Amino acid sequence: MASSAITFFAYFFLGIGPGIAFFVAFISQKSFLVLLSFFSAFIWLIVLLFTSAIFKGFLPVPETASSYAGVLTTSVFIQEVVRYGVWWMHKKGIVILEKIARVKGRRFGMLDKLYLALAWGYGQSVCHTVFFYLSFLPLTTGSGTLYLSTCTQMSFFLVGALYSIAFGMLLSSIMVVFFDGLHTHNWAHVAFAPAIHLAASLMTLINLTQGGCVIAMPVVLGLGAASMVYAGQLAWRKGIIEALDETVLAPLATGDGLLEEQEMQPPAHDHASSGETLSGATHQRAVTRRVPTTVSG
Amino acid sequence: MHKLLNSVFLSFVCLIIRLACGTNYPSVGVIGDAMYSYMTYTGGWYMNLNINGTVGSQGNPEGTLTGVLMSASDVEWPLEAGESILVAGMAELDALLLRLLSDPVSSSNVVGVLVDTANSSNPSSMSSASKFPGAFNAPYSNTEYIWNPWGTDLQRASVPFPVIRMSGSMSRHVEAKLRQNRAQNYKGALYKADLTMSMFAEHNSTYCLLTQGLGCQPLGGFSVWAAIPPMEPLIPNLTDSLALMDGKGALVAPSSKPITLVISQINSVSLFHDYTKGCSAPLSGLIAMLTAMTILSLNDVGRDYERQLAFLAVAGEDWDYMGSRRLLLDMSVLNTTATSGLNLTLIDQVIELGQIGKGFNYSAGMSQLYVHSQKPGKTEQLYGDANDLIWALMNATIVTSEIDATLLQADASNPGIPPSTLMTFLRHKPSIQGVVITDFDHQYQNTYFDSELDLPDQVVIQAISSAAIITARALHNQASPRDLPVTPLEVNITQINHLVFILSTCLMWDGPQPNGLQCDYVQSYINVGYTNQNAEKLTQPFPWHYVGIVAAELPNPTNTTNKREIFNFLFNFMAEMAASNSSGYPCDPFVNFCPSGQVCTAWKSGHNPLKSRSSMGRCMTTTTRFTQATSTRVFFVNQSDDPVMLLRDDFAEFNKQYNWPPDPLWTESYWSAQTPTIKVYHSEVNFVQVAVLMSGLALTLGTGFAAYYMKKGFENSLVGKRTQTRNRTSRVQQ
Repeated sequence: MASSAITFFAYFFLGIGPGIAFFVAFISQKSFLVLLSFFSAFIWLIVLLFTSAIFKGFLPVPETASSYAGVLTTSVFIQEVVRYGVWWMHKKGIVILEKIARVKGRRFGMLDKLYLALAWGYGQSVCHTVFFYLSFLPLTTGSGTLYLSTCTQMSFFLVGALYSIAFGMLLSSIMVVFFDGLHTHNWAHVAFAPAIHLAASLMTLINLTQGGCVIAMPVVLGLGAASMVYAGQLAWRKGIIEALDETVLAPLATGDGLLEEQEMQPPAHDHASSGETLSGATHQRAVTRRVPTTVSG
Repeated sequence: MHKLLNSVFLSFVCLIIRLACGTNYPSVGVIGDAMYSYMTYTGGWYMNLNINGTVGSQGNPEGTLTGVLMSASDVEWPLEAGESILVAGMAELDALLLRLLSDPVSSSNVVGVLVDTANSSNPSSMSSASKFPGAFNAPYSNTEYIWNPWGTDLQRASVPFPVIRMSGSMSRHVEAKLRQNRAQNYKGALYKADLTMSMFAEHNSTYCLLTQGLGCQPLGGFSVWAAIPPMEPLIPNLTDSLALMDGKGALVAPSSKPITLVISQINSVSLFHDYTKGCSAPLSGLIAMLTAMTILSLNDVGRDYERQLAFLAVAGEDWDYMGSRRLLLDMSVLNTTATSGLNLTLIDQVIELGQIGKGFNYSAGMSQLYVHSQKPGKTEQLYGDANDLIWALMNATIVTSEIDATLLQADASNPGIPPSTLMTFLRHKPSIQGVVITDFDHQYQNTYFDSELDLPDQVVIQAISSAAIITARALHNQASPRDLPVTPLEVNITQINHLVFILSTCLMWDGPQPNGLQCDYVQSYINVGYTNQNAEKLTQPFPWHYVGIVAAELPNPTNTTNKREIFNFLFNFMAEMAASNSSGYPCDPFVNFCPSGQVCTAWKSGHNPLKSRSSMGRCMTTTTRFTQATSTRVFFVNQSDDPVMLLRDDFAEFNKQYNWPPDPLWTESYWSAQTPTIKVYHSEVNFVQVAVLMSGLALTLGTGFAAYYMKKGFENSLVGKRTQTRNRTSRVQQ
């Protein structure tokens, strides 16, 4: 029936469309990022399977907010531990990538690292969306909808779609912030990821109360949007600083890292070798280098 | 392993989903189940057809119908808009249907009617029959007389929308949805239902039988009759298998003994065929007849009878006296093997046991029954004078001391006998002395005649026992030799009450063991293997109170295969009670036939020729026969061992002679399995759906554009900054 098709596509575009648009705009441009985000999604799938295997023994948990909170906290904890593991893989990967870059005579910069972090985060959000939203999206192909007694304002599917958006924004962003924190030893940024993830997860407990979805929904969406804005401005700032740093050493066209498959001018040797150091150091160096110009200017 | 992983994973996913959305569902599949509630096969008001058209309700022949669930009590009549599915309790159903039948505007806005059976308040009366059921058959002209004041005649009405009876659990579920729809004043996101009830048949019964192929099937069943004492076979000691298979052993030698026929009916009807109960009408009478036979059998009488007693349980009488009309055609025109011995010219007395379930006077604390007879008439035909029979019955009542019972003669102001099979016999042979024993005088006491509320609680066991004892004594008195003192019948009232009670549990109650046809008592006669699951998931014998569709008659009228269980039970029970002795030879309906004059009883493997010692039947000397109870136009011929149905149309002479109206040729439409189906779900408002779609598209495009422009902006800003820096750098270098 036409109305069933409308329902399905409505919730498909609402819950998954933005993620696809984001993928097209940012990830799909670089084939390496596509592969990485798929790999990330796979890793997170295994993590979720692992988590569910742990909970197998405890399900069904008593229907109390505290036991749910326990499950959520444990789940977030496991994911955050894995996130640290992901960081470790990311770091190892960067070393390899930089070596390759050097051999091929390409440049591997801060912007590329941000992109890699984004791909890791995007993979996680895809995994969450697929399993916590896409899994029940086929139910919208029928003629019915589902309203829960605790949330008469929004259908179950609308709630699911909005959470898909919220957690999509949130999980993609906090990975960027988390990696940056570890990069720069900014512990506030390191704590940002688990804190926001846990906060958003625990916010969903409000849904268990009558009409709670009206409160929880904007808050979680807000947390997602805030994380995105924060990560965005972080990336913007760092990206520009790094790019400016590049221009000092090797004036090049923009956005042309290793991941752009494009021949590069041989980069300045001292900077390429600095890839093994943390970008914070680069940052500091860039600042110090810029100081004389400013002064002289 | 995969499955395990799946379940492990799903349970976790669902845990998260439930936290995210605040649900209590343990798995994704359960979310789907929560969205839709289904109910299949609980019975609809199915379509029947006759030669003139259709009765019953019809869904969308092509598929489903969708409408908003609405409580019938919330409708502001006339219903002028909307596609509504009206939900009514049993108590409001008749009024609602009558209203819709007389109100085409409202009717056109109704998509379907659902019957809520969870609501415990039953109407004080409910009857789908007319005020004078089967009036056309009356042997008197006052067909306006009201025997059944509660009759609505809905069973002969036709509505263009499906009417479906919900199970109790579905009713409770729908009630909750209705409350929500009502709270929203039937606006916004409402609960809707998809109804599937496609009746295949079209136009009328001749069209659906002859043109449509698989459009419909004739209604029909089997009547059973038995004789006390057993009649002499025409060919004694016939043992040839082929001849026996052909029914030659069932032929009866000519006799001159006058016959007293005792009649009761088997079937009833209601709007929802499978939920027909018919406890008072006609099962109370049927059980009384079976019990009367048992009393005679226990007293081992009959050998010296000067009269031939015959007992007839007739099927399908609700459909314009289909069963008796066909029986009389078979008896008087076709002279079938099955009716051999049941010679109409010899039948001079008929006692019919009608509805007697309420025949108990509570203030007097005793059974109170009425005996109706047809007045001989003045200018019209001269009907047989039943005074002899009435006297015998009255006398039997007086000598009955085991039980407190009175038998009253029905009021002389009645136009004649109440609706009964006797009417058909009087049409064919007015000289018959006929009486009908009932629990009412001027009008039915049973306010639930032909409805699904004609339940066991409408029946008093003592009334049945009384009728049985009185009838047995009267019969014994009539049949015993006139010149000798009559040996009184011994009646053990405890035993009789017990039998009536057992037969009532087996025949009046539905449901799983120990009630219903699966009760031990019935199972001691036949194998009740044909069961189905009702909507409440209870396994029970197939519903049988409604006559159902026809099955081919076999050449041997004592063959129990190819017949539904109720007919088989009646056959076996009546065969045993009418038997003079049991030869005890093992037998079956396939190879090991009983010799002429005997009948194979208690065969317990149905259609299955596999036999064990315990499932084998035993030959009994008895005259018990199945006869086809269907339209007088439906016949079967054997073509290469497959019965093929023929529609005959060559009994105009018979119809004219007995002034029968054209045979209505009642049929029942075919429908697909899982009919009817109700699917209830919450339906989103179209506006919201479009709004979500638009926001989804806008958000998707917006994200795309925002991402694109952010990237561009970033690049531009970079270029700008770089140029700036480069300029500065160059300036520094300068």
